[in-house]
Amino acid sequence: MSTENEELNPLTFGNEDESLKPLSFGPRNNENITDNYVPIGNVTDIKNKDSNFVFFFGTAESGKSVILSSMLYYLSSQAGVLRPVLGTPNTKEAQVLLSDFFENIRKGILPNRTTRDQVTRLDLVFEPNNKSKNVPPINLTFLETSGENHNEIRRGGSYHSSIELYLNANIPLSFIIVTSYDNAHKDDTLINEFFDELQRKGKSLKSVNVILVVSKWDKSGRLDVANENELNSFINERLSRTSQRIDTYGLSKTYYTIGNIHNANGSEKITTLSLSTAEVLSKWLYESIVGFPLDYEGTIWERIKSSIF
Amino acid sequence: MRGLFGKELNQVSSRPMENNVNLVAFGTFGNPSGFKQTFFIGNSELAKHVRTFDLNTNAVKLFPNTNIYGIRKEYTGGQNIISYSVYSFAKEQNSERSGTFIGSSILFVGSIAVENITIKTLNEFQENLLNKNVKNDTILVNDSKQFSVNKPSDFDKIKYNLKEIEVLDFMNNSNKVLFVYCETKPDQLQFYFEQSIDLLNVYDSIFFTQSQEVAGFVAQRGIFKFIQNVGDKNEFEKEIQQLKLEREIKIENSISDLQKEIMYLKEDKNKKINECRRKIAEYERIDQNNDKIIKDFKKELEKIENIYIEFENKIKKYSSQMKSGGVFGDIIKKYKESKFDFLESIRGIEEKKVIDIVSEARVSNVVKSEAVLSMEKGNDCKYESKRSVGDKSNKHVIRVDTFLLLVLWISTLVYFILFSENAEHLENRDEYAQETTNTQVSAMSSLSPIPNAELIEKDRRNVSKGLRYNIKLTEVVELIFRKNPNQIGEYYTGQKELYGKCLMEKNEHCFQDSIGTYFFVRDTLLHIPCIIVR
Repeated sequence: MSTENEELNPLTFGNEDESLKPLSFGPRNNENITDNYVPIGNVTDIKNKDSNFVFFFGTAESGKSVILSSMLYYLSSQAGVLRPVLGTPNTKEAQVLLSDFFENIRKGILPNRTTRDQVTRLDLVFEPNNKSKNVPPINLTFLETSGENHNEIRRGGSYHSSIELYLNANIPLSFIIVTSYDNAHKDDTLINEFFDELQRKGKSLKSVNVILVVSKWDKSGRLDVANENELNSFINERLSRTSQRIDTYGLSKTYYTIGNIHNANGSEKITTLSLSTAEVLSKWLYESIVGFPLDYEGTIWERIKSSIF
Repeated sequence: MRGLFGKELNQVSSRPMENNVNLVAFGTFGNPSGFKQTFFIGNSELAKHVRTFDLNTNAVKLFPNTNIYGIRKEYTGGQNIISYSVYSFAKEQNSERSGTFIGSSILFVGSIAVENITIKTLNEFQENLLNKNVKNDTILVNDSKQFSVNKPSDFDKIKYNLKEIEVLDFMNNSNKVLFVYCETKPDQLQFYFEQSIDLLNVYDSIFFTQSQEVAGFVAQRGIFKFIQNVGDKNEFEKEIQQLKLEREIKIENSISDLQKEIMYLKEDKNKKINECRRKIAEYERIDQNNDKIIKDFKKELEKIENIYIEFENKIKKYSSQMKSGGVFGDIIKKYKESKFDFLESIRGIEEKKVIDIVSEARVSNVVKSEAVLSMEKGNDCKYESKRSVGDKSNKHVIRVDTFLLLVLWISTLVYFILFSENAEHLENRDEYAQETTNTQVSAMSSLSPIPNAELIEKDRRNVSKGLRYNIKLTEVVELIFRKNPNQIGEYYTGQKELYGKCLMEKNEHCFQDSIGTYFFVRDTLLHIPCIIVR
């Protein structure tokens, strides 16, 4: 503490980015900066409800941000185009988060922890590269929340108002329940409490899209499962109550990994990026919203047409 | 170092409320708790409601061996809160993810301590926190409740060094954050904290760091407003000056607004006074005029009396002359002459009276007060003249009139509701009869019997169906007779020509003369006279 006595000089942040030079923070620009500033205030009303909202549930460090970033990367690098919604720009914060996701995953860097008590919404349009008319572009709004807030609903606790707002709203929501391979056994009760909370809010588990994702599957020593039973028996064993709910209501489940992760010099890096589980989850999301699979082969007419031309 | 610290602290929930100075420790703990904060000294009730000290990980990040200081305002549970915090880099257990830290905060309710004591206490507490709970940059516990901390040595002095918070609007949140790259040694930090209270009118939180790495990250993210106050950069001072300048401008504008208001008030006052004076002058003039009229009337009063007495006496005289056998013809002649004179004299007075009243009415028109205007609509000159001299009984008359009108209106309404079947016919008939008497239509009055109504719309439409452009008047009449045998045909079969004329009179421009023959040149007839028997 307070031992750094060396003389300080104004910062120079490299030449590649003009806006980062100290000079660019002159009094004239300052005004603009203030105006463009996007506050992180409490939202009291949900704007632009015309979208498909995707809500991640899971405790801190369960892998929600990693799953989100790899899904976004899969959707935009292999399945089609992800672009911002015209006319409803994302907040400055959402833009920063998005560019972080895309840039860092390519460099093998995992996302930061997420700040509690705030919801960052990422409003996007996904345009599939599948040309079939049954596979249309869709609006997707991902809600990035922190695990500590989800942990708060334990033992009858309630959500922070910013999250509560989305759960109470009459909007199409898809739920991705995340629990990690190494901590799944601790999350069984909490996940059930979340299901109870959803039902209390009038969201019948039979009618909303819910999927259970076991993340960090690479910690099992493999990047995939030998057979379906392996995942089933894992969930049965570690998440017995959740498993009953899933089977009773016919909810989906899958495992997740983004590849091999190497820990060196106190920082974790992805050494081989695997998008196969991101693909499975993305396809589930698309199909559960649209009703047609993302890789739908097309109607008979579309197939004939494509074989002719 | 350990010797400097006071006794070991426990979580606040088990302690009674001490005072308005709170000591908080916080950190990020990974799965499952994540960020957690715990009050070690202070108000346990407040602890439930205070905002968390978590950092926005999208905007700011700590790196190994870096610190961030912060000052924040908050309004919670009706209380004004200022908190001073320090964040140090630390990793979560079994995790390498970034954006993690450990920190502490001194939170004041209502008043704050002298800044140097606050900084000393905060640094001491944080140093103790790091020493006891962090090893190899990793937090050793899973929850902030498990932190091992000691009471800072000068903590108890704080309550003797409290000061009032300068004028600061706690309720108004801008959701703006200022991030300053500057030296954070205690003496410099003291200056920044002192100055920051005023800046909290603009920003909700202000952070300070002397780490180039952290500053670079914040500037690159651009979510917080980033400024530098090192070397030749003095952007923090500029912020303060800017705030003062804006405040001065605001004050100047307010003063100018107040001056303008005084000016408007003066203008308004003069306008109202002038208006009032003008009215006084007008009414004084009317008053003088009325005085003159009253005098004139008094004179007239005598004259009238004399004229009547004079004529009465003359009649008595002629009567006695007749009784005494005077020449009858001469007496009658004289009587007629006297009567003529009498009537002339009386008429002269009557005419004068009318002229007086009219001239008076014109005077009151000039006044144009609202009350007078409303009476003008009644076109009642007498009424107006009385009103202008201020006779209160007029109000009564208005009330009676209004009441009568209301009764009339209600009875009309009831009539229409009760007799709606016949209403249209009857109304038509009555209006028609009135119109007929008023206009004295020649063809109409020649018809026998005289029509007392017009066909209602349903019947008219029935006639219109048979009408064509350019058919002869006689054909139109035939058509009307044929379609309405009971109301028209029966009565006017022998008067077709006359009925035709009557039709032309009632429907101007509907017929055109072409060498003595009339042709129908419209598409419908609006007025078709008929007889309706009640």
